[in-house]
Amino acid sequence: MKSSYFHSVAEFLQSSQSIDGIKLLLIAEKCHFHHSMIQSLHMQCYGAIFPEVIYKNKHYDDGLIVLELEQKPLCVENIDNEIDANINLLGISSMIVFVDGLSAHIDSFLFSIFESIDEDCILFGGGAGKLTLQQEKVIFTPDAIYKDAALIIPLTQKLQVGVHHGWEYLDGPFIATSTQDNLLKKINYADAYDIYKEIVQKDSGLNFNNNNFFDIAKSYPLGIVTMDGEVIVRDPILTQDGALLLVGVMPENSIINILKGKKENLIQAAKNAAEDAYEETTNAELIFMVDCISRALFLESSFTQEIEAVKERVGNVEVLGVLTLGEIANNSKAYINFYNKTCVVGAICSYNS
Amino acid sequence: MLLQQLTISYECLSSIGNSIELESMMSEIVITFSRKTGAVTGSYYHHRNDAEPLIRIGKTIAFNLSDYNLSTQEYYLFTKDDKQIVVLPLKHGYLKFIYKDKEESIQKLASMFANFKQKINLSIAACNGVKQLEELNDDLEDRVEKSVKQIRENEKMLISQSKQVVMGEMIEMIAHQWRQPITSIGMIANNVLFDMALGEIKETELKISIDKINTQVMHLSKTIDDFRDFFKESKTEQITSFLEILEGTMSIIDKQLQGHNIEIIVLNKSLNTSFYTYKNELIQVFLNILGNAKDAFDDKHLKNKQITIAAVSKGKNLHVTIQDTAGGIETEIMQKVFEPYFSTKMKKNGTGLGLYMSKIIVEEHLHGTLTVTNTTDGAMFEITIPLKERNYE
Repeated sequence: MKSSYFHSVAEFLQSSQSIDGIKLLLIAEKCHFHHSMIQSLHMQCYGAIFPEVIYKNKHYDDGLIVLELEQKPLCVENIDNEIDANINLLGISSMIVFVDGLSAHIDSFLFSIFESIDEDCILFGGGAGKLTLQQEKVIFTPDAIYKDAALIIPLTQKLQVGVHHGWEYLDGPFIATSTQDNLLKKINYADAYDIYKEIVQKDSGLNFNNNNFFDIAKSYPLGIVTMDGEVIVRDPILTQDGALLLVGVMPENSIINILKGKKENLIQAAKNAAEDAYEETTNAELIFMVDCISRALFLESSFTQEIEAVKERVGNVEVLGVLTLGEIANNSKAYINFYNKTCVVGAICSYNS
Repeated sequence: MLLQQLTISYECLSSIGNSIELESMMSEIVITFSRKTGAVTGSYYHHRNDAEPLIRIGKTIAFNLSDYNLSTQEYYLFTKDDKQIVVLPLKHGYLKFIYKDKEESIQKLASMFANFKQKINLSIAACNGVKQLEELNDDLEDRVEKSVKQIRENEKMLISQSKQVVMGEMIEMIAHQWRQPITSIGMIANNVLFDMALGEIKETELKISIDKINTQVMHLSKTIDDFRDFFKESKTEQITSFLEILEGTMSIIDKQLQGHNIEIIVLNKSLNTSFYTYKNELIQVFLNILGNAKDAFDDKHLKNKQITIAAVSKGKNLHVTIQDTAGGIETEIMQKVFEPYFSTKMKKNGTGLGLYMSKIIVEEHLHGTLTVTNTTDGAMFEITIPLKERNYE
């Protein structure tokens, strides 16, 4: 899977020898990009816009990564609708899925995907979008750019996925007594924000005001407890009339904990994810990191250590990826999960090991 | 581990019985149970022998249960390839969940589901009960609709019958109105013939006789006009006054009342406030009430026969009372006088529709009220109708 990083779309277009071939463009938020740039050239470019991209040992909020694809991606133009009958996902053994990370319909879409794919299909991916946290058109095909959309990239290679987050228990358990999609209204029958604020302010020694919610909340996500002990992290990004707006849905009556992070644990989690995904015996062509942007914001300058931790584990295999608004992965045994503040590592491996 | 088990138990339990609509209720159970326990597929079969589930989420995996008797155990566990299947028989149908690589925890899961069985059964019974109630309610609505339709049909028929009755009564009234002028015309004509036979006829006397005949003919003609006007259907409200209504009524019935020696006393006769109403229908009401009073006097052979009609404006309404001295209505039948086919005048071929139609006319067409009470001397009918200043139709 051939990949390149360009500082701008113009640089990419100038370097392109021909308009032939299917390309996947992973565009960083600050990169100057208008869909008309590729539309007018009739290039077979599919892709999405993310807060940042990862290429080799660095992460960039500008520029773009270009990957050459063997198969044409499939676009679900409105994920609120049922998946079009023309989109046949059977027979695909591995895929990458990018979805509008601020859509309210991600959960139902992933459920539809689960019902439509083969039992043994492995997939991973993440939520596209910008750090403004305003929903925009961020998923594109050669013909148009959409919001509330998803891009499914079938792979011909074998895929192995590792998922870890490294966040730890701070307080709980609590019951999410009232929720609506990705809005957590009540915790233990009280306004969610009041409960959350009290615990977080006490632990952090910081006080919330009208402008600093995400600055503090990025260090204190919520965790949904699951049966097998896994904790699915939910990132509160805004407050809304006493409720917390999350990236991803929170089912009513979920049991939740408030979590906090230590930098070394998060870095270790990325290493563990790489460990799970990468096996030296397999012929990994590419390591694709899907890492939550809020981890980068939390880790700040230490975030490069997270990339290095992955790189260290996989040796000479090329590492690239995206920083996302929510991460996607499945283990083929049950449902496809939509995570927050999590590091997902996908090892794209050749079948010829 | 305990927290995780409690968590899943709580979340699964919380998903039971949250809707009174069966499909929605079971859908929430299947989705929650499946997702919280990591099932590859979850389904609910409403009956044991259903080929297709009522609810299914997740992957479509064939596993036929028709060969198994699912009535003895709390739950059933099956294995097929790398899948584990949990079947939870319910009172009528069953729940089925399929897992992949969950050999270690499958027994605990099945036990947990079995603990929820009674609550699920009760919730299904509640949904079915609500559904039956809704069906019963729908059926009741249908029946009420049919009954209302039937009542409307009956009303139409009654109105038609009532009109026929009124026609019959009118013919009798016309006969009364015409008897005197026709007799007069006959007498004048005989006198003229008699004078001619005696050769004593004079031109001036002949002219006087012809004028008298013309006067009587005009009276007959006016009677015809009055009756014709009355039978014209009121399609829209007309501007009128109490005085006009009273004159319209009396032009039809006064001779008949006079023939029965009934004295009519009109109070506030000068009340001439203009208002919009269905004039002929209101006249029909007056005629019905006055006709009933006449019949009551006939039955009781009273000497003092008086009907007092009074009208007064009260706020935005016209209030009319028609009071007779015929002894009143017996208390036992007071509540029934406005019912259809109720009559005390069997001997006189009373149809029992007059007061019923009057009530319908006043209350449904004219948007007023019609009531009856007894006074010391007789019955008093009270009509209240709005003094509409404009025709809103």
